[in-house]
Amino acid sequence: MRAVVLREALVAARRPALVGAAIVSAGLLALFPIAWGVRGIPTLGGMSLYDQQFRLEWILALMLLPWTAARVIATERGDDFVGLSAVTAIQPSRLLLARLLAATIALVAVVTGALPVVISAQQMSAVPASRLVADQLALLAFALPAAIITVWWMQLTTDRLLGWLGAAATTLIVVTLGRLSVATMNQAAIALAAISVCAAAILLARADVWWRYLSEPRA
Amino acid sequence: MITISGLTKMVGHRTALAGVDLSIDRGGSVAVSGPDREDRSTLMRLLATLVRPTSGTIVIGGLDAVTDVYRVRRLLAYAGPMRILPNRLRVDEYLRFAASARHQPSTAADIAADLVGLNRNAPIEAIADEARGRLTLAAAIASGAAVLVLDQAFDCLDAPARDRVCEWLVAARHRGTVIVVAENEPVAGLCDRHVALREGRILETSVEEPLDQAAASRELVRV
Repeated sequence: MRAVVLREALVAARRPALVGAAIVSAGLLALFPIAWGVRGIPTLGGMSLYDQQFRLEWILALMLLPWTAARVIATERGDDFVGLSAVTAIQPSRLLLARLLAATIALVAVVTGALPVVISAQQMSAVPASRLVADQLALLAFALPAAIITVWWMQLTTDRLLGWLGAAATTLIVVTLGRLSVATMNQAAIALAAISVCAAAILLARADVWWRYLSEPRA
Repeated sequence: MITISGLTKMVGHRTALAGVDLSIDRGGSVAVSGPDREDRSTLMRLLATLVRPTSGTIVIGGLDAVTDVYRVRRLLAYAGPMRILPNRLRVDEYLRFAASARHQPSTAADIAADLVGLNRNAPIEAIADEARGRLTLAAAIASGAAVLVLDQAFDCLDAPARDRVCEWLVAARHRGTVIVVAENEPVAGLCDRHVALREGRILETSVEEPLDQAAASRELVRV
């Protein structure tokens, strides 16, 4: 298991998309106060720079995290995934678990990459540190459903673009539903993380059946 | 070590295997020949638990290959037509991963790479598709598995690499490894039994002599 986790993490770390996503995320968040000043967008009156930037951080997370996960995870799926299981003699559920872990860690890296910029905004807006911690923990928790949804989509389709679009659309729908169900975005993120753990457990439980054999021509 | 009884396999509407019976003891080695490469490959994939038999049983190391598929996979390694995706890994990284997943030391991966003649530091994406067969063979060698299922695995090797791999396989056989090889032409000196697969059945068997004397006279490898 350790070998597989290390391999999945190595594959993710080697993808330029990981560093690219972290730079884009941090860069756009850093540009926000430069573009709008310490008061933020004037039409969003009543909201501090930190609040406005936090909204932007969520929008970026919704777009970037599924894309990043789709780009960085190892590409075996379908028969290639069965082949990987045969080469390593490791059950597909464990391979998939390792992939989920690697994808989640990669997304956490993208979110944390923007932390210095977010902390600057928090300081400029004089927002309590406890709120910053709660907001960032919610975003980090969101990395889990984003990773699970994307890995699931990437196992379903051989087309990476389709996988990303499907994952992005599903993530958006799930987040919207979550946001409509609870009071705040942070609560929605925590609830989604909990639900996604259950979804991952179901996926892993079925993986050994779904990816047991190579596909065959139908009779 | 391996017992196959009444094994049948339908591929689409075609009967690829129609009641194959075969048993191989520990340290045994069998060469499977026959006119239909696809049928041979089907038998090898069934042995490797990569496809499900239509009927019949395969027992490997006392375990049923259908009901205990994942435990059986720990006993065997397969090298054959199978894609290996680069994922930006180098040859040594891939082989060390394959070896460590099976609790083998990294030296096993290095030895396997040298045997098949792969540059350990080469990125996998730089290796031509046809040469990636060497990588699957090296992964099988590095696995330390008790059963090696080699389906056309020698096709991608040049003569010196064939010699080295054959020598290693013969030594592995003496240590108790079971080797099942499917090749277009017999690999001289490697297998002690030769079976022919014709029209889905094993029709002829010879022990310690090549199936085709003419082919043997073109001996590809001397061990």
